[in-house]
Amino acid sequence: MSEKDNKSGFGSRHAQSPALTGAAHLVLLTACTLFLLPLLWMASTSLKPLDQTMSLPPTWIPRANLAAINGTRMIVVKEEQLQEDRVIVVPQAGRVKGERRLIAKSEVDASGKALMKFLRAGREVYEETPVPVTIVKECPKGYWYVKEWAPEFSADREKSKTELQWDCVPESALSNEPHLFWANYNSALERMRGVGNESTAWYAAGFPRYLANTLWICILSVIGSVAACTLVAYSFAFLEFPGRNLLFVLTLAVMMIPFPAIMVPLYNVFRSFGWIGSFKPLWVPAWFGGAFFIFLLRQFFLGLPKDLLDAARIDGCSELEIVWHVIVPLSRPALAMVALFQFIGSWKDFMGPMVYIQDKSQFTLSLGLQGFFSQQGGTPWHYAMAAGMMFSAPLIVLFLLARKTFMRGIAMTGMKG
Amino acid sequence: MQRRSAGLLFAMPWIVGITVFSLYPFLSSFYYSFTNFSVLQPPVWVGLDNFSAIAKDAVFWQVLRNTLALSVLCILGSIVISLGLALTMNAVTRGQTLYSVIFYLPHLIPTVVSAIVWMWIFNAQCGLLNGLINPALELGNSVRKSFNPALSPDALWSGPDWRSAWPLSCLFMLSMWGVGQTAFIYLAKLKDVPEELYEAAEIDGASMWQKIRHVTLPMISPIILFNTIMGIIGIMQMFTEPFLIFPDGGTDRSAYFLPQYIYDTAFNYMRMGYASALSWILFVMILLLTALAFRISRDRVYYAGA
Repeated sequence: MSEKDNKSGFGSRHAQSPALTGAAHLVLLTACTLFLLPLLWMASTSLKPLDQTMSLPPTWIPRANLAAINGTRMIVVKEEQLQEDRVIVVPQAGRVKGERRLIAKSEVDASGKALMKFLRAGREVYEETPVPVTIVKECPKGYWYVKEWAPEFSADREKSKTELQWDCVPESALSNEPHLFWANYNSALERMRGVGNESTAWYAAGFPRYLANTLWICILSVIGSVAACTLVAYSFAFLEFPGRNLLFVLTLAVMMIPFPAIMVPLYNVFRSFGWIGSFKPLWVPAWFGGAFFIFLLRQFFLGLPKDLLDAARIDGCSELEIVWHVIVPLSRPALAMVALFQFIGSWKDFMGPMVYIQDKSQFTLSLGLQGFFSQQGGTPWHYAMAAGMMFSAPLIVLFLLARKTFMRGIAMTGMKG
Repeated sequence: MQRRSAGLLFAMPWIVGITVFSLYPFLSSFYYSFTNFSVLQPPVWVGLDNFSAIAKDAVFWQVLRNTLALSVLCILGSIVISLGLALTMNAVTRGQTLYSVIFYLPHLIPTVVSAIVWMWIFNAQCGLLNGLINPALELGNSVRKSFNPALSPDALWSGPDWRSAWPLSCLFMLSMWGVGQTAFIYLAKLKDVPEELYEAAEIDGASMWQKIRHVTLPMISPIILFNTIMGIIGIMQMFTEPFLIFPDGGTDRSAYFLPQYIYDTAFNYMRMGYASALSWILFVMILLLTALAFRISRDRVYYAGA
């Protein structure tokens, strides 16, 4: 363990009282909980059934309602609690003969007949005359009308809609146990297609397309960024050319320019290139370098042993060969950092795609996800959270895999101070 | 000679890149700010008309107030919270890595996702925030009822609709969620403070707070200034979060900020000249705030090397 790792303490790095250390841990654990709450809330919501997302007060563990329907125990949706005595009947004649129906008990007259409803042109209307019915089950006031739960989007979703089973059960027959609704994730992916507007162009652009678009932009940006920034940073660190210092000062200065301040003219630059409505504004600039990455790499290169470069020069290596055979092998961590940061930046980007992308078939995941808002009938929060989890997961996995590279990079970020 | 030409050659992508994608847009927006200009028609020189129109633009002044209020709130909050976290992390030996990983996690969540998650947290009916504070409010209600049995149901406390009642605090919370990165930078710097300084302070009988006040803070003051300036630039260009959480700019434009106003002016109202003038005001505001940060810190920042 290096000397640095042993140092700690509020003011001093020497041993301090256990009470103080304990208090510090308490503060940190509380802060960690607060920082994790939104993520846990997202994870929890993403695995809940729709009705539980609206429960009051909010609950953390996703739970399913279970009930036996026709002898089979299954996950159900509590549709409504009966406010009057009802009965399940099977009509013996008429248009809906043989089907199970839930009607008010008072609708069945003394002779065992009832007026049944049937579907005409999409609307439920009463038949002309009462028909004899068989009472299958009594459902007193207070019973729950429950329906079999099924994923909203399954392969045979029309079938699942019509063949869902239902029943009336007393409160005591319902049980509630923890259950993770992983099907929400698939439904969220289906939602991203823009269901409800199935005109071909829209429907074709679904999650796979958004993912492919996003990855394409990310990969092109990463390759371009690493290649260009390495060369430029190398020239800043080890080569001389007229105007080098001025260019370096400008490089630091442009980091101060906020994107909204150049948004308008940059849009016009891309428009004059004919790039609006294509991916080019999102990846081509990376191939010309980025101020922050160039700065980071230059600082890293300056820390490399210079005699290696001189030795390579004496051996007759060209500058490009030096970069490839000396600099790149020695700078793997720094280059990995640039690649990671660029990947994350492109993956997360929202404003760029929003300004430059017009056609839905070119949407990135960011834009696809935005579609969860302002859908008719409110935001489906459980799907929005599921989609958010899937969108964030790759970055979190990447971060945990390359934690050291990350942390070193973030610490380097502060080097300018 | 070969190195000279290689240098220019290697730097060429960036010379082109910085010119085309940064310097030219930056300078041309200065020119555009003196013109009337929509995408469809070429710019027409109008002199200072845009700026005098901005001076009379009530929306602009409101947007400016919002932007300044949010910036000051978030910058101060970020300094206090991230420094506090870093100092506390530095006070423990075990678990530093785990703590910093957890504090950094929110930074990895794509902006669209964090905006959606926080909107859901702020949800008035079934959001987490109201779920957490409602028990406290109900306790308050029952106490009030015991004093005043005639309390009307309308007067009872309940969780607010955060987005319309407290728009700035929504964005403040969201932005404080992301201070983990800054805290980590501070932690790295805290480890560079020479041990001898603490020893010397201890010999002089300094208390814990005196050591923080007179040793730690001065030693890391340059990075505090640096992070503050980066914070100013970051917060002043915050676009995605307000854009998604307050698509219409909030109730009475209470959550409408300069970047969104620039965006709307340029791409919805097609007034690119006016938008360019606004963006220069944004840039000048960043410069002024940065200058202010330097001014405040002038006698307080200690440069060990200088």
